[in-house]
Amino acid sequence: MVDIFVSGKTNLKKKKKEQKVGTRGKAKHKIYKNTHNPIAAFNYYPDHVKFIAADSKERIILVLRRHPITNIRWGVVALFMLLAPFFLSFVEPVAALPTNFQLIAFLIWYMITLAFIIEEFLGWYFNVNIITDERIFDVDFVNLIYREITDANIDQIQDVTVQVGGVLRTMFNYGDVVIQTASEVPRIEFLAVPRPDDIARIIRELRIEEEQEKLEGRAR
Amino acid sequence: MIDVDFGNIDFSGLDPTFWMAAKVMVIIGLLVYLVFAGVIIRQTKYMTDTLEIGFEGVIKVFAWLHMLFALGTFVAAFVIL
Repeated sequence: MVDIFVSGKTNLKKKKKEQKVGTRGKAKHKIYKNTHNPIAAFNYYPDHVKFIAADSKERIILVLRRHPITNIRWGVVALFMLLAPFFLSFVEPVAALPTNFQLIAFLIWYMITLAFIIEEFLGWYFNVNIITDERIFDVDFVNLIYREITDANIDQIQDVTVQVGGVLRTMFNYGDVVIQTASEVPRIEFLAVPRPDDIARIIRELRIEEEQEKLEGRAR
Repeated sequence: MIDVDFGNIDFSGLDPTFWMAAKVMVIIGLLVYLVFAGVIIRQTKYMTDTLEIGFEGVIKVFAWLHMLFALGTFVAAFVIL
């Protein structure tokens, strides 16, 4: 039957609803819109992502980092380090040093402070957990030049456990997602990640999609 | 002769040779630190090669700023001390 009249408002509502749903790529998770902030801890369908271990056809759905609140500790330390010279310059033996040595001492102190901030930020920014439409990854930079990437196929996931405990974690909605797999690495942990329940939901939906693909013979 | 009074330390009596030795030690320490600054740049490159998500340019700038800071401190120590 031909439509006599189609309301423009209905189409607009439908369009807005679709925009709210992450409909990029084959995975549709009716949770969030795409994240456009590269330093977000919860990066849903991030823009312009290149990951060394992902296949070219693999679509990156979620990039996770520790919740930003976990950076407060080193942030406070960095703040004290920045302010320390203003107080310590009056304290012996620093005050007793010749002026030229005091100046160099200041420069060295701020140089070390900058290195500390850079290292802590790099540790937060690049230690990520990635969920693609085929696999999950745990990327760990253990020290300056040692990298460890653990991955497991979505269809090898046997169990997903969400652990949220403590006042801070409950208030700020972050926790651990522990994934039991049938691969060589039996356990992959996403530690102190934001929105752990939503992460578990996304993984569940991906597992369902993988099952459907297998049944339909579309699995890669 | 060093006048050791914990409430009021005075280095003015120290031999100039002591300060020369202190300068040499600071310069050697800064040379080692320059190597560390280079490692940070290498580390940043290694990490950005692993994962690119859009903020790497800023990170590289800070890594190089840190290297320049270390270099500047080294030159300053050479000249000022």
